Amino acid sequence: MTEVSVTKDAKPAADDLVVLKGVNKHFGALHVLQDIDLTITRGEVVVVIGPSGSGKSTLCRTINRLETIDAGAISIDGKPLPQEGKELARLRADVGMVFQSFNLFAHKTVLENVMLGQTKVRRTPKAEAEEKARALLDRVGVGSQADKYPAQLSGGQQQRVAIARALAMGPKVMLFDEPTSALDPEMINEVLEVMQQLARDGMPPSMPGRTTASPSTSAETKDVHHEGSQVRRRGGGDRRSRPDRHRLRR
Amino acid sequence: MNVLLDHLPEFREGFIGTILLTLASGALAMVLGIVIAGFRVSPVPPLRFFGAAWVTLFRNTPLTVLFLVAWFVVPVIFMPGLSPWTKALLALGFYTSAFVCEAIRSGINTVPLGQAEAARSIGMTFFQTLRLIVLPQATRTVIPPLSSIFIALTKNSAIAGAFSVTELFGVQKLLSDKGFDIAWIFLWVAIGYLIITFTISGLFRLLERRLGVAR
Repeated sequence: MTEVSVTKDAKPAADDLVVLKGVNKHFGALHVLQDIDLTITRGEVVVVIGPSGSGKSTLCRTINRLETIDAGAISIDGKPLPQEGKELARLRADVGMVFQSFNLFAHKTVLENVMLGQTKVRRTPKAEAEEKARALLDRVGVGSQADKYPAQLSGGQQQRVAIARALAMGPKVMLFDEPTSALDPEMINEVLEVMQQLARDGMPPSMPGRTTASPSTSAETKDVHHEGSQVRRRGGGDRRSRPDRHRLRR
Repeated sequence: MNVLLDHLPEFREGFIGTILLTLASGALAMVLGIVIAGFRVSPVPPLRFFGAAWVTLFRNTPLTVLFLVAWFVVPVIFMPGLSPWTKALLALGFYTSAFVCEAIRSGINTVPLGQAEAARSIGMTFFQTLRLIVLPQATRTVIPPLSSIFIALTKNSAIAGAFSVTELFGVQKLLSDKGFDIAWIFLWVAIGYLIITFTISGLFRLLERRLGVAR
């Protein structure tokens, strides 16, 4: 791990949505994140790829502070991540997260899953929240499953509900932590299609900006290769035409 | 047989006394138990310490000692002038709350961590996460141990009888002092307890089934 090459975007700083500076994280003796510098701008799609155990998920989870960091600084939309508490909760509401294992609320119906954050965190009136939830569920193609419980859905359907649940909060940033790795091959596509459609749609009014961090094939603009200290950026399309050189080198 | 019929008012009063004491201290134990369990899983270290200390103290003290403390220490140091019934309520409620807390905490631990993470990631506070996501899902696993705890509470309330609180077991002392046949008295007292404990386990079984289909 000798090569560290980080290319900063030339865009103005005002557009920087997620900024990581010198982020370090240890799990016991294991130094997972080593001096990570990463700037993600509004509307940008970033994909993090790397071998398993290289810290992709950890990087993703530090951004909404599900994992605390040992050193460095993370700020979202210009505000540094606060300590655990009300303020952090407010900030997390603006950062949508989709998990590898879906994590839909098992005791709530699909519709309730998408409504809960709106009514309890955003204090949206019930009727309005339900309307938005149904619209989002239709958009990800599971509108007809609204009254079922998560356990009654297939993995792909559950993950699409999870995407709708995150979108319902009107997030500034969307984090996808290996959203398709727990899915059967034929279900991966339906989830990827939803994600690609989201990326293509640009920004709906509920989503002023979106950032995707996901180790998947839906890379549209930027790739970030990540292995401990190595965060490298490349232009879109690069990855398909060239083999992943620094992985081959290992 | 005649003991029961001749002293029906005493038995009835004792029976109702036991039910009331069990219900009241059960309610107190539930409220305290849930709050302390919340403390024990909270991200705030002092609260966690307080919860652990509470459970250690009340779970490891013999109930009779707690009764003695409630009778002879609490009035002197904290609150004088409590009625015997209130003191019995406090001793039973605090003692049982430690067990309720641990049952609830074990239920909380059965809810996958991802559920709480998902809740936090959509901006819920710790309290919201616990109340809206974790506790409702913990309920089902907690029902069977809670049933045992409340049955134990019913039987533990007999100690209050020795401290001159009107309840079912106290009836035995009253009547055997009057010279009635002790075997018959015990039989009726035992049946009284069985009625209460069977009702509790029946209610909890019903609850378990109801929550079973809700998923």
